[in-house]
Amino acid sequence: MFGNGPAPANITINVAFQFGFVRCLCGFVLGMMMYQGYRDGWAKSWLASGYTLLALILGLCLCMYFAIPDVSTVGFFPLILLSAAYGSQPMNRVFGTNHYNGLATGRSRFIWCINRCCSPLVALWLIKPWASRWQVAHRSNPIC
Amino acid sequence: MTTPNTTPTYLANLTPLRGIAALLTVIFHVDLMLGNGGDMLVNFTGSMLINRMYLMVIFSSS
Repeated sequence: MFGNGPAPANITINVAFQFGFVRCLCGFVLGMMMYQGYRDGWAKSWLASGYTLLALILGLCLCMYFAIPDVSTVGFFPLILLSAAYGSQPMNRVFGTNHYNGLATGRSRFIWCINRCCSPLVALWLIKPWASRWQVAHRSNPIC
Repeated sequence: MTTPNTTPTYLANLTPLRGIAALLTVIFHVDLMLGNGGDMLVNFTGSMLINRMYLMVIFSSS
């Protein structure tokens, strides 16, 4: 059905361990391109709507869930970014709530730094022994 | 005299999205590093959605 190549579900860009820097660089360039698009007002008439943003996020989740090739899934990112950047009155109201502001500004950078610098340490030296014990106990008492 | 560029330099709506993406990436990475390919905190093999959460790295970097 798919010829001699791998099945689409197996084509991924999961290169977390080898080419993470290149992947982030590509994401950064994509973001810069989208900023130019934002300034020029690409597709503003249909992207500047909360329903469009919801539909795009739903499409992204479906693509991830059904293992659509990553290259197609990534195609949703610029559209979501543009839609959120344009904004609309209801969308701005939702993103302006305290729950979302809790993730705003310095905190997302803080989470990112924690992820990059500390999560390996936390996972390997602090959580792993506890998680292993929990897993062993959980497996030995499956009914509980 | 030319008028200054009035394009906003800060897009407030993107910051929460970046925060959510960063949080999802943290969950993915911590679970990945806990065990051999995850499955300790979250059931990786049971959810394709979480299994592909590495894509959030690209989202938050863009």
